[in-house]
Amino acid sequence: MPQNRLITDTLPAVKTTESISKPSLDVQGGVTESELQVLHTFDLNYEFGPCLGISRMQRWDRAVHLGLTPPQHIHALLEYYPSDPQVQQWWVARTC
Amino acid sequence: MFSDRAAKSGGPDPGPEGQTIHRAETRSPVRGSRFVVSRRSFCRPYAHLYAVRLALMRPVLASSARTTWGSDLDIKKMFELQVGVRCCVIGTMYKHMELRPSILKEISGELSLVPQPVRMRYTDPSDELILEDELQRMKIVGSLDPSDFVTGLVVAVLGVEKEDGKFHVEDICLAGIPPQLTFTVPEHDRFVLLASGLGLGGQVGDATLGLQLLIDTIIGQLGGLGEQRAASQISRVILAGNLLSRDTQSKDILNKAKYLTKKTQAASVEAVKVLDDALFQLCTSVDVDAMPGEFDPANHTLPQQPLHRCMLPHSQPLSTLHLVTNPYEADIDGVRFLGTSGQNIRDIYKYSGMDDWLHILEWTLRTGHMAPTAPDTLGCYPYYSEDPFILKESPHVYFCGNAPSFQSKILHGSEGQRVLLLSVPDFCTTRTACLVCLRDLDCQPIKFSVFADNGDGTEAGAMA
Repeated sequence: MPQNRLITDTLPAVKTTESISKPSLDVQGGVTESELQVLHTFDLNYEFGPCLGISRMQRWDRAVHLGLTPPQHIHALLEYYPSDPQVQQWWVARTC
Repeated sequence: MFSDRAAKSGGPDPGPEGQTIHRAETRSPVRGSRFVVSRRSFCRPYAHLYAVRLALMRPVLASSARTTWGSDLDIKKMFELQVGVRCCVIGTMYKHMELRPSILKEISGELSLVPQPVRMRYTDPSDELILEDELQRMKIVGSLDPSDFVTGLVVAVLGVEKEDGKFHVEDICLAGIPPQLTFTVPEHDRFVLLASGLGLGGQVGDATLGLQLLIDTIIGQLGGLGEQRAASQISRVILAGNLLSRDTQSKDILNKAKYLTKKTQAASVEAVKVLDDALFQLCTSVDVDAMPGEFDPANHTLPQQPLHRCMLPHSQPLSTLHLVTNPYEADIDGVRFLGTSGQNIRDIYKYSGMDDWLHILEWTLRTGHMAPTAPDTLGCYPYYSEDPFILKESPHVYFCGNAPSFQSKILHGSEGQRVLLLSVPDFCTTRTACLVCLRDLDCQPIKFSVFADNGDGTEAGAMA
């Protein structure tokens, strides 16, 4: 009997692919770098509260709900790219 | 009151044989849905909850501060503060506590350092208060006692920032008792019975006899015609949490190896069967609202969602059984009830110097927030766009369950608010339930002493 048997001898090693594919930050699907920059500026605006864990649309809606006036062009951008995770920041909510 | 009624009509009035006494009916209650969590997403940080709490309470506190300290008050954010200029700041309080249990200290215990002692309360004279707003935080000192406050409370403070970088507080302002809905006086006397901490499945045996006496009294199986008539005025029973005992949460199953506990049954299984039986008896005669509590098989974090119907196969088909959330909110005949199973009050008790449960209950109403310590030391769902624990309007009956003793008080607010504060005692240890009269918000304990201490009998329903 060979001494150093490994579990991978009987069960082949399976490389797990990352279940959540983070979209690369380069331009795709029509979103330009400058538009992303605008969205990023919105994320960092402290007046509208923390931005982690929720999508940008949720954050925009919350700001309205709290009686604040978030910039209208952000809403327009979010509506213009409804299925782009880079714009909506869905992956933030999906990673957990 | 209930006992007068029972005694009055209990005289020589035999009544015709076979007379049926009808249960007092109320309109079906209007329930709020703000404590129902529909989309369960737990991946958000709690920062949102604090941010939303501050944003929602800031206008309330600003107006409250202006009425207290004058309308020309200068309310500033922390980054606008100047040294030596007297002004008002609104922020969330954080209490730095040396004795507070910490997971880091627990881990350090594994590294053969001094283990943390088990404590009932975590206050210490060295506690410090820190005020936070969206951008920064600052120590607050002066004419306030840290033991009067807890983490997560939103307050307005008036004072001066001095050279040492600390904010010296002259006065502090809470949100105040919120406005109240108009109170529609019910036409007839109706009673709501509140009980909490039934403690089924516990080690103490005779709790079941007390419970059976309670059930028999409510459904009119005990006492003379007077008592039965009085009992028919009870239109609703609210069970405020801890239907099962703490003992049903045995740690054995968690600690022992799986193969040793494979065949053992969880202690709560038998207890839930007893609960089902008790609820079935009650529900055949009266509407019952059952709230989950700390030891019940529901989720642990506030707001606790209703117990699952499949656990109660006998009582579940009855339309009189209502499984509700904790905190509980409902309009019963125009009287707004709001209350919890007591976790919020117990948590404030642990982390502050306040001793009296009724006082803490009143204090939470004055601060405009039901559970300021959530999510810090009290488990809470990670809300991001609302804080359901903010009290936007005062209830008429504000209660907490599982208190050490029965206490009640009518609180009068400055804007004509009239709130009945009620601490519902633990039934398992005190054998006491509470009756609230909906017409005048009068409140009375009802005690079921079995083999009473003074030895004067085994009669049930000895009403105090």
